[in-house]
Amino acid sequence: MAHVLPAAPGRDAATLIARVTSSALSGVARRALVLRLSRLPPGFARPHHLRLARAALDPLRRADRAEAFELPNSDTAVLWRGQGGPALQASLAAVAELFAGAGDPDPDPAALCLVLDLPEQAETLLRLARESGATESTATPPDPRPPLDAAGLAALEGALTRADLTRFVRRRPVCVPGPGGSFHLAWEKRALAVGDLEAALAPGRSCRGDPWLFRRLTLTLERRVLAMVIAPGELARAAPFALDLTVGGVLGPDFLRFDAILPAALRGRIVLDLQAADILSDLSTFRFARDFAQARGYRLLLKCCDPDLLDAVPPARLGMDLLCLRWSSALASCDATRFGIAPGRVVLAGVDGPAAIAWGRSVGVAWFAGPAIVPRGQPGARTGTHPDGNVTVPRPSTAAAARF
Amino acid sequence: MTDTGSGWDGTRNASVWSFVTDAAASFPGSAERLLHDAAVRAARHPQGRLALVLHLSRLRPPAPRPHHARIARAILQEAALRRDGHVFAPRNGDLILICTNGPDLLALPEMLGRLLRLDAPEPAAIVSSWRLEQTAEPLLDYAAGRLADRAPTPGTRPPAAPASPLALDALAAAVQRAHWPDITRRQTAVLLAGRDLIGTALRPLFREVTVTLAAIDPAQQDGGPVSGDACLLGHFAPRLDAALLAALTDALGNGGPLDAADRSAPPLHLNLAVSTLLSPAFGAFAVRCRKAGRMLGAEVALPEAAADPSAFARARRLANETGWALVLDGVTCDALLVTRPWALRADLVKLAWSPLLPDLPAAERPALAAALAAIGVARLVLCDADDEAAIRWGLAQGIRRFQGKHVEVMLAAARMLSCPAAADCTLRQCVERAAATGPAARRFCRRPDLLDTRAPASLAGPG
Repeated sequence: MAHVLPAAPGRDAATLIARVTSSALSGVARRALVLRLSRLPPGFARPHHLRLARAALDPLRRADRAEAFELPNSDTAVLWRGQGGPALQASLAAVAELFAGAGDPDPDPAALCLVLDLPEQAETLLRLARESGATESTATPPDPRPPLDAAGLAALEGALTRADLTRFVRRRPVCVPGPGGSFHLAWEKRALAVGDLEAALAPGRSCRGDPWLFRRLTLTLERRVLAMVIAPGELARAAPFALDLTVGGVLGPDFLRFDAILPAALRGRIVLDLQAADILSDLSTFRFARDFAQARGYRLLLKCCDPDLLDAVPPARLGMDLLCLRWSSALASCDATRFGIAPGRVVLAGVDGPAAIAWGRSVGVAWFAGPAIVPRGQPGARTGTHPDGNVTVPRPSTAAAARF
Repeated sequence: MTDTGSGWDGTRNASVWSFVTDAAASFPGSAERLLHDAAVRAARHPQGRLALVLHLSRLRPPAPRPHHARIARAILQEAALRRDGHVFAPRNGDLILICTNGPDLLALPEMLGRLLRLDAPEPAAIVSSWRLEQTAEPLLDYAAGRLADRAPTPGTRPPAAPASPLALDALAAAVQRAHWPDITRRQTAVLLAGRDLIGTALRPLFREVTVTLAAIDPAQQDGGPVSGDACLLGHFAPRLDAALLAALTDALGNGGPLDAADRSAPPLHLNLAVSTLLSPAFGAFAVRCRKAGRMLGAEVALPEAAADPSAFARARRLANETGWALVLDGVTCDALLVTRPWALRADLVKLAWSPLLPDLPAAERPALAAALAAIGVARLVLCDADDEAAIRWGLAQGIRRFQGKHVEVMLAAARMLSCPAAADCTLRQCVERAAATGPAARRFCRRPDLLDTRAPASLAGPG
């Protein structure tokens, strides 16, 4: 589907960053072409040149799920699904033809057009987007899609009862930094790729657009994830992992089934990620669920997207074991005194480049996750062993915690 | 022995069910009979046997809630599986484990007590355990007591089906059709001038308008009521707010809540979503109120405020610029212990009364005292003060601002002491008329100005 956005380069860059980050997180393959018009000699960078150059990308705009983004420095990026084939070739040929014999020397078409494969080259594209003048902030840009409404939620809930969700499951590494800038897997975050799920089951709608309806949707999703995790053989050779859960989910029959079959080797190595809004909605039930989960050896992680949350909801006072902060420009001005928990218990998520890593290291963050974090070695599940002892989730302090 | 229908490991290992006998899934009295028979058998062969009673019936209401029973049962079932035991679930809600003893069970009573301490008036009394070779009498007495118990089974309503999102449209239509005085009430918060209840002046601070949807939100054919689903209700809140603001605006000049007989009446407080406070509709409403000479306040629940503190801060600035007070509502005892509500810097903080407050374990009392000090008693309103114990506890903490049913009765009593037409009314009628938001419910009151006045009232009477 061709998608030509009106000229709003700042917004486009932020949206591009979000799309690339999403692709990197979900592992869903995309291709990108960056038309580097900022590299044109001044004589070829007049408005009509730029207009013609962008028009040369029209074949590519008709590729599967194509989206075009105009960046602040005049560069244009197109993302699409699949190889692109003839559409890509047609656009590359049109650019080459446009500048052939136009100057002395001619602008080099190979230098003007950069074709990238995602998620492998996500870091390159993110760097280009930021260098284009886009702000460093990775705050979620305004979603142009309308939010899921009540009728859409009802339809989606119905579709979810029938859909096979295994293709939407993603495993995202959470890593500890090692020597020489390397990262080692600590645990995997197992979650459904909501973006892909909504594209398949609620196209054109944003599931996260309405926070309350999204919370309701998570109740359905967590049941499905738990059902997949307890499927025969799923846990036998699994590496330590984390799950998104609600407080009610921790106390629900599905989680009790999961707990009953959790292998002893994983006891104490599972992280349960909870949202502040869910915790706050019933603190009495949360405290009961917290005590139960911790007594069974689970580590509880507070997900935090807004550093201001930590002033009113300090994780340690809440009794949480871990805190997950999402990298943003707002976070960059924070120091560890605001975390409300020791930095050694903090995960930095959404790490998309050196700035985030440098900040995380400077404040003593223990774990990193995001498109720029690639673990050295393979998850334990593939080798039948756990990751190194120094990178696993801390075990409970007493052996009795695993058994009442 | 019967299937419980829910439990620890139902899908994986059906044999687990043979370890539970559940009154709810049996014919009446069968669980009690089986418990009694098992107790007698265990007393005959007590060597190496252990009995443990988890007195869930002793938890403080509204506990035990379903999750208490589900988790406790799961824990006991696991022990029963390991220790050749059996779990009984009689009608009173308790759970009884009879099994072979072992070192792995040593920590079980303490673990259960710690888990349930927040809802147990006496955590030490929530678990009884007996090594039967030492004494079987307590188990036999307990089992006999259960067998003799003829009390009806506590109400165990099946959980309501989740509401369908499609029910929101029907609710929205019902709100549009509703007669607002039928679904709204107002409740006055007061400042107590003195330290004693008798003779002290009650100065009205504000009147909170609450909307009750239960009457117009019946269960739908394909699910429960929307008001039973926090997510759908949260999604619906901005629409409800918009309807409320429109209704209040329409009622201006027609004896509505904004048209107090006494022009110096205390501000009206509305429960609003943060998104409403940041919306253009709120700005327009605030302008109308200012033109009408009425000051108002907005109340935002702690879960919503703390979940997005940046938005709450913007709403606070906007409300204050508009001249509205912003109140942080829904602060519970638990919230004082595990969050920092004062960091949100609301104008007032409403602490919900709970019998837990005076009964906190010694280890948690310093945290409670520190939280009260951090907020400051001058910013605290003790709400849900429905009985005298609440007022007395609040006064002992230095709190002077109260709201609740007991306060409504105190105010009505004080009004009647000074009302020349009091002989025509009952105390209950005076309470109901003060809570009404429309003129119809007040038509028999001969001094409606007293229902709205800001003047202090006193239980010592006018003289």
